[in-house]
Amino acid sequence: MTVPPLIEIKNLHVHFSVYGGRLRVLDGVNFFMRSGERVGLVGETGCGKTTTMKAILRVLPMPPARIPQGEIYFKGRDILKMSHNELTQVRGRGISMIFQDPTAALNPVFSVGEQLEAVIRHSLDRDKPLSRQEIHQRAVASLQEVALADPERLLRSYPIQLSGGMRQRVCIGMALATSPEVLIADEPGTSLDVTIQDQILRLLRQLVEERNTSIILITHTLGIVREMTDRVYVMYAGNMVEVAATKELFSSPLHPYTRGLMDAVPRLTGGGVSDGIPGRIPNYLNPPPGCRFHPRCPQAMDICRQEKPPSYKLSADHEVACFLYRDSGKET
Amino acid sequence: MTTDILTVTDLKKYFVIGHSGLLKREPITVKAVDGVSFTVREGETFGLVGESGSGKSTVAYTTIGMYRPTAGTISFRGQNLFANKTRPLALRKEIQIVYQDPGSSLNPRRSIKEIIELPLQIHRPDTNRLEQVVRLLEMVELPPDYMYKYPRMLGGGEKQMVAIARALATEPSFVILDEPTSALDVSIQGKIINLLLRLQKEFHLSYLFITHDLSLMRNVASRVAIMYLGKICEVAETAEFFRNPYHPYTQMLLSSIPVVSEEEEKLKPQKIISTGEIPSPVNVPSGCSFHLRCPAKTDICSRVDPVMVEVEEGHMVRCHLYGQSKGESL
Repeated sequence: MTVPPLIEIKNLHVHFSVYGGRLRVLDGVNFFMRSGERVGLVGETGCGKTTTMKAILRVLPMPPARIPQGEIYFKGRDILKMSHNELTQVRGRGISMIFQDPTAALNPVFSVGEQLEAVIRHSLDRDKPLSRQEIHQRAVASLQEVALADPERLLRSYPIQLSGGMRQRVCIGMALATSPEVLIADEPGTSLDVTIQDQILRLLRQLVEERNTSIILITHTLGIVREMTDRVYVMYAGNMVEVAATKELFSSPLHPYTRGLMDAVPRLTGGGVSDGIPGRIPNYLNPPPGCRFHPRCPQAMDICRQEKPPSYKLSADHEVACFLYRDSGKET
Repeated sequence: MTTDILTVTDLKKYFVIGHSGLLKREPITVKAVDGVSFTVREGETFGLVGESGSGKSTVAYTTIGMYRPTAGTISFRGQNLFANKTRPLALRKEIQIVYQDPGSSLNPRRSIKEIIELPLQIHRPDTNRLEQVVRLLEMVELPPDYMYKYPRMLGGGEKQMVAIARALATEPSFVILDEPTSALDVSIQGKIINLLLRLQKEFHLSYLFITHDLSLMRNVASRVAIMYLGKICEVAETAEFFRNPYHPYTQMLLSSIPVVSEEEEKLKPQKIISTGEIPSPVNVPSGCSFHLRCPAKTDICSRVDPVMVEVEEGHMVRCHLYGQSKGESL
């Protein structure tokens, strides 16, 4: 294959220095996505989903964060080795991000128009500047695209004058205004009500399809992943524990963590709730040796307490990092 | 025959948020709860579902006694909760609450022992407190040595268990659960829910369970009520409610839930899609408050507020679609 993956992360480690030691949050994360793919990233609070995505955009505060090891490639170029100028090119036009809380993502003291036009202005080529009017027109167009009525008035208003759903639409419009190749959506509906979340997700899916944008969707809701993505990574305590095509993951989850997570979701069909997974996510100051999931795993073996499991490839798109599949898959 | 433990009749709670008019004498009110009636039966879990701003927490806080109602009554085993200016201790002891976020409902400077002891000091001064604290911790499946810890040393799930132990310290018969698991991860949620259901059986508790998660509601409640802008739109037995949702808003809510399996997908109403946003409770639309978002609205909806009708036994809907045909014949 000559075409490099759109994004590829190899053995990424991220540590945070805090009072009392070092938080070893990401512990060898591997990830890739092809052009045009819709990839999901699921995991619970504090498993490192957002840290991974922030590392891709290089927006982690350093210090306290440190990347002792690992590579992140965007179209074959290592993001971690880029100069500031190259990075500015990647942010915005290469990769855009939508955050969980649109209220925090928008600056309260600037109007929507000022913020949106600034984003468009910064994404332009130096040698091809646009007039103020053209930029304004683009801003209007990007608000129309996210189905917001009366864009002229909206551009003059401030974030506080908009509802949560409208703010998130503005954020989506802003993220797509620069026509990025990859859109990272970090829990885009979590802070909204369920009927509004549904609208936002439908809009996002429609826009991504129309423009053939690749998307990484981060969420802790398994149902959203099932409806929105082609392939899913499951993350636990700083490791990718399983990756599979979405359909396959939901029909045959393999990793004990993925299974526990699926069982824990309450079903509309009723039948009670399972007890979930015992214990809680480990402390990153002193993570458990071997597989980080072993203290909570119902099928833990001796080897799990000593060695970190490699990823075993079971089929073209299904990999699982668990010793249970030592004999059935090929080590990658 | 089951008896009713809590009866809410035409409850209204308005908040004044400012004044308008020439002399600033016209109060601007938010009708947080506007004419809500329901009953909770002894030993059942009554579910109250709604999106943010629907008034479900205001119902809870009025029941617990944080607010006095603007109009309407709440009676507990036939006794009006607001008969006296302050609620008698014996009534307070019977009704307890577990809040959504255990991170902020537990005092960070008190040890777990002190947190659980406080209601004991007030409501059961004659008991051996240490013994009771140990017993309460065991009840929520926490080891006794947790009493010397502080909230910050516990995980989210464990903190919520402490909050449950505190609520049970007074030996209540009615517990309000205000989104008890929505601040927690799904892998921890199950444990809390099953613990609550076990305690309910053991001590014959009645629950008012508030959540915005319909999938969770399906698995815990015996009856469900849906709230929208301070009013109840639909009430039914849980199984019936999910099999046969009548109100367009209920259908919209159900169709919006992300689900994980094909069987669940079949339960979702397919034809209806979510549109519009929840209007501000300061400016509630005229007529039926849902008419701006409703796909089935007719002329009458913007003028007249519909009344509750019983469409099937125990299944109440407040919508003009069912008012004339089935409702009136009843």
